[in-house]
Amino acid sequence: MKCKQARAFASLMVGNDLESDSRAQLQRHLAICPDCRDFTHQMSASMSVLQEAGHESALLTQSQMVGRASLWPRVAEAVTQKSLGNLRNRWFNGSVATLAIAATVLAMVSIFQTLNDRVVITPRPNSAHFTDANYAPPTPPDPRMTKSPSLERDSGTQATTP
Amino acid sequence: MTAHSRRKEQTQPDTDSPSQFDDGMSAEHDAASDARLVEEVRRGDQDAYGELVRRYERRLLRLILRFVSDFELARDLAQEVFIRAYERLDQFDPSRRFGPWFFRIGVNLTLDYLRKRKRRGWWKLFSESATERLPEPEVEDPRLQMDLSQEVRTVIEQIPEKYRTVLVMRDLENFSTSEIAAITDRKEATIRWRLIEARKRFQELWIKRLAAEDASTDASESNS
Repeated sequence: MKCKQARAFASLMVGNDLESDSRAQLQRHLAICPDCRDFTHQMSASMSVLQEAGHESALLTQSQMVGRASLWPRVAEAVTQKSLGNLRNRWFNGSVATLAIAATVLAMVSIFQTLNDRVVITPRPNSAHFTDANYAPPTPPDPRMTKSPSLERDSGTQATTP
Repeated sequence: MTAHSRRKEQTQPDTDSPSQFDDGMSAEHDAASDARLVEEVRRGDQDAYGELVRRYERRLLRLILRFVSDFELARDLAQEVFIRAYERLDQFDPSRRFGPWFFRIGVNLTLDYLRKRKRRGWWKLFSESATERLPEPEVEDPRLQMDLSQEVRTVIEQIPEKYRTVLVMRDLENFSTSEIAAITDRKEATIRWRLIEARKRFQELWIKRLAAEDASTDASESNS
């Protein structure tokens, strides 16, 4: 085992994070390497400081927590407000969408009607416009003009014709 | 007390210890009941979330207090974590454990807060006049008034974030490396390498601090 690996293993061992087979390898290396032994002792000492400080501040935290109310009432209030806000937003977004669709449909209908009114419709005799009071019925056609030439010849009105 | 014996002591049953996730039957029981509570919350039972809050608030508060020293600020951050977790509960995969998922939100939110504060600090540093930053000679070196946990905190704060997070969670809060891997969304091997680096950096900084302290004590003695 090289010193670099031994020191990495030592860093894990001081926190009880090294597997037993790796630990055995490290012990064999430490038995023959004084530098790595020193390193391990220093690492162990700084680890003790770290854990002692951790323990000390955990006790301090513990004492700060004594008599303090749970966070749940504050969290519950915030969560309820957010839920209501979300519900309101969802309702608002839904109603805005509905209103937008309704407005679009109305606009399309009114545009369609305006265009429809501008188109000139020629009335036909059987149409509803025929009965309108303002409507002047077409003058009846001149019967002379409607007679066909063949009929005229048959009745003899064109007898003088050479 | 050696580190090894302290570690053994710390693995004794502790109701607040996060490592109870890995304590065999109780871990399975906790995970199962967490999953049940999450399911109830999803069905609209807010009281079930109250149960989860009461179950995790002390552990969360302790973890946040490793990163920020102000107790009231830590409570505010913890509250924010619970609200954020509630909002994201539909993203939680019930086939996984609730604890690591929840603590991931907690760690990320706390680190985000610290990053923002650091940025604000830099801005403040540049915007303040130089005279305001000069140390007052009459004031004693603040290191002499600190207790051990404050000194250690000061040293830990000098370690880069990715190593500091692992060091705090493993050596101060006693999370297992597999739990840290789940919380930080990294491989366990990565966490072990970061732990090695974090412990080395702490050791170096601690030795440097002790040397500086000795030098300042010698200087004050020679002056007097």
